[in-house]
Formats: sequence, structure tokens, C-alpha cells
Amino acid sequence: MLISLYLEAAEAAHANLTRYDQAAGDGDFGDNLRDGLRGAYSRIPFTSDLAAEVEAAATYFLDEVGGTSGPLLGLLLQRLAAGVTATPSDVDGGIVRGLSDGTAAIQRVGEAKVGDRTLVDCLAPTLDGLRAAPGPIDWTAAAAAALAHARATADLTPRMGRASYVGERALGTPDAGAMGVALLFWALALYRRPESRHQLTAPGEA
Amino acid sequence: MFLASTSEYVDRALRGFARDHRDIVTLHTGPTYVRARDPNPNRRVGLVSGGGSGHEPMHVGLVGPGMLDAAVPGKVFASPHNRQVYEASRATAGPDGVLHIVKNYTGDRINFGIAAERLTHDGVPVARVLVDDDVATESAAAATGRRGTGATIIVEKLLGAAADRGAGLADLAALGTEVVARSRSIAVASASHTSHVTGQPGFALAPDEIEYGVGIHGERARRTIPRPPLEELVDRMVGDVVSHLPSGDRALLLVNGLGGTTTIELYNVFGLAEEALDRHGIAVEGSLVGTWTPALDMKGFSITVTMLDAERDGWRTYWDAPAWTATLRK
Repeated sequence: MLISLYLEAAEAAHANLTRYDQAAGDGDFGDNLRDGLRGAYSRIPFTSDLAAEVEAAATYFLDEVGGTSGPLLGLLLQRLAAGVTATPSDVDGGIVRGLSDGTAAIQRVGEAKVGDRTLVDCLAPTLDGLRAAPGPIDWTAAAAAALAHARATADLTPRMGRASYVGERALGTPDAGAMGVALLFWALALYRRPESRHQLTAPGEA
Repeated sequence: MFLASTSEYVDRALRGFARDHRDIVTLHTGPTYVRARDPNPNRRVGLVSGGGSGHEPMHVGLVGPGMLDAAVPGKVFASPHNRQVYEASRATAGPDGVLHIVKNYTGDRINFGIAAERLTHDGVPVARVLVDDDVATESAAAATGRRGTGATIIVEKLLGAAADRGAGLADLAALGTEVVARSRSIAVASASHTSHVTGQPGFALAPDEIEYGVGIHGERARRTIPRPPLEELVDRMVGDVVSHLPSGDRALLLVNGLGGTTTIELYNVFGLAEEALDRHGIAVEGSLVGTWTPALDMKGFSITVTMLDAERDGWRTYWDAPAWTATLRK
């Protein structure tokens, strides 16, 4: 299940996510992501397909998870589920279209642009790369790209979101939200290519 | 502050409000919102507003025939959760969807925005009117823009009347946006509110000083000025507001108490404001005086002017149209 893999990643990365958010925000992002995924996982019906499990997680994040980033992740998951549902014969394409729709929704709501140092700085360039690459999707490369984009937020001065209140003091630490989204790409890579685990950077090192 | 000793004093107040006005509203819990007991069958669009608590009677006191279909309260000075907005909107949407009336604060924008994305995803048409009338924040931090304050009351009244006549979603959104564009406010305070957290004043102010340009969340203004006589103060405030408005010869005037201001004071302000507007060649054709958009118990007041002209006589009709809410009745 995708959500159980995402939960595994959030558990492993919890300490680092908390440390990143303490440097620039209120320090609760690691808790919100992990506890949100735990709660979501407990709500998923046993027989769910990908769209159903992601839709159940989306509703949990939208309704129950605190902070601003929790419900925004809920929007991302809701559109991911819709993308997968829309094209049952093309799961990879549905995932990319769903995540792209979700990123657009997050940007409409949060008004963050690329470069503002938010989770958009992982989502937008990673998805741009996926849409531009010819042929079947290389999920292992996508997970690596997402991690690199999330790490690169350490060089961005915050203009929106959690870190905008501390300004340049956030420099040197990656954005917790961007890293939290990179973990979703780790989970997607493993979900689509279960044999790729040893090729991926472990979430504990994110 | 006279608040129940548990942390759920907002919910307690809402239960009391809903009992007191049980002929007009019902309280929904899990999640919390207040909705009109008898929705107008002519409406094609549900009107939903909301925001932090501590500004009562806004918004729950404006739910009912002629005004809002639902109001969504957050905790004191904090945005409501998107789920409250989403479920209140699902419950009250008409055949042409739902209109969100949102004051311009980051948290409200995001939470109403998330709810709007959920509604769109469900196939419910949704639009937003963003209220940003406070001229004290005209040039402040360009990214966030002007705060939304007293004009919200006028927007909700005019839109309520238009919605009762069966206006569609796009027309209501356009009307609301135009009302906002023709409405501006300014507020002053002579004493801070009492913090609901500490029980202490939010800030200290000498007796001969006032804060010029306060908001509705207990924050200080950007300027503290020597306290002028009320005649001078109101004249300056009206001048500030009018200078930020398009020209016109008639207006709606709202004089709003910030929570700790007496009725006799507010009517002094109203009389002086009407005279000041008259000197600008503006006749007051509709008015509202009272505590409509307070910042808990702050001692101060705001002046809101909505500029009308010959082309907008219809707004007067909307202003005078019947309404029957807990606090606004025509």
C-alpha cells in the first residue's frame, strides 16, 4: 500500500523533519505528517485499491491534521486519487496528472510560487521533470530528483509559509514541507517498483 | 474577561447563542457552524462567512433571513478549520453553489481556499468575495494587503438582499467585489483589549494618546498620536477614508464600536461623521451604529463608508431590504 510506505518513510524521517521545522517553523511538521499518516492508515479499508486508499488518506489529512501543511497535503492526495481514478489503464500517467493538479490547487490556495521555499519547491520541479522526460516513468530517478529539490530549499530565503517569519535564519536547513513531499516520491517509487528499495536513499537520511 | 474557566468558552458561547436565538438559527457541531433555520427558497446561492471569534456579533449574529445562510467561527482571533467551511458550504449551497465572504487574513484565505478546492472537486460551484477595507494597512507589507474589517457587515447585508432576489453566483461575486472596492474603513483605540490568554491588557497607552489605525485582533496601530478633540479626530478619520474612495455624493455609513465603547460615544461619533461627510458633499443615505465588529473589549471605534452614486441606487434598496437575524433586523 502506498500510504503504509509513506508512513514508513515519515516514521524514519520524523527526527529530521522535526529538526528542520524547529529551525524555521514551529517544529510540529514531523509530528503532523507522521501522526496524520498513522491516522490515515488506520482509516483505510482493508481491500482498498490505490485510488481508494489515497482518497481515504486525503479526507483524513483535510479533516483532521493540524497546521496549514496538513490540509494542503490532503488536497494533493485528493487530486492524486482523482488522477489515478481517471485513467485506470495508465496508472503512472494518472499519478503524474493527479499530483500536477494537486500542486496547482496548493498554489491557488497558498499563493506560493516556485522559489518561495515551501513544499511547492519539491513538487513543481519534480513534476516538471517527470512530464518532460520521454518514455516510461523512471520512479527511482524521480525519487532522487525530489530529494535533491527538497535539499536545495536549504539555499532559499523564505518568502511564504512556515519559514517566512524567520527570514534568512532558515538558510542552511531544508524546508520541512518540501522534504515531507520528497518522502511521498520515495513511497511512490517503492510502490511502483518494489524491487528498487536498495537503489533509493533511505528516508532516515532525508 | 468573563469567560468560562475551561478552554471551550467559544463553544459554550455558541451553544448559548443558538439557544437564545433558536427561532432563527441552529448550531451544528462536529464540525461547528451556525446556519439559518429557515433558508429563503428564492436563493440560488448559499452565503457563507466566518472567521475568528471575539468579533461578535460578526458573523453568527448575521445569520438568518436576508443575510447569511451559515457562519463558521474559529477560536478567538483564529481562522476556522477548512472542514467547518466545507461542511457548512455543503449544507447550505443552492442550485448555483455557494459564495464565501472572507476577510483578508492569511489563515482565513487559506482555510476558505482549501474548502473551496474541496467544493470544486465535489462539483459544487463556489466563488469568493474578499473583504479588504482597512486603509491603515493600505501601504503595509504589500504581500498581505489591507485587512478586512467593518465593511464585512455592509457586504453581507447587500449580498443577502441580492441573494434573496435570486441572483446567481457570478453576479453576487461581482456585486460583492464592487461593494468592497467602494468601501473603506479606519479604526482608533484609546485602550487595549484584554487578552483572552493572559487576562491582561494587550498593550499600554497613556491617557493623552490614541492608536490611529488599529485592526480587530488587538494589535497596535502603526502610529500612536496625541489625542485630539473628538471633532478633530472624526474629521481626520472621515477625510482618510474618503480619500481612499472613488468619488460619489451619497454613502452608507457604519460606526462600529470595538467592544469597550458605549452607545452614547458611538452616537457622538456618528453625528460628527455625518457632518464631516456633509462637508465633503456626501449625504448619508443609510447607516448602522453599534458594536458590530469588535476586537473583544477594545476601547475604540471604526468608521466605514460605502460610496454610492446615481448608478448604485439599487444598493440602497438592498440596504433597506428586510433582514431578520439575531442582531440586524430591518
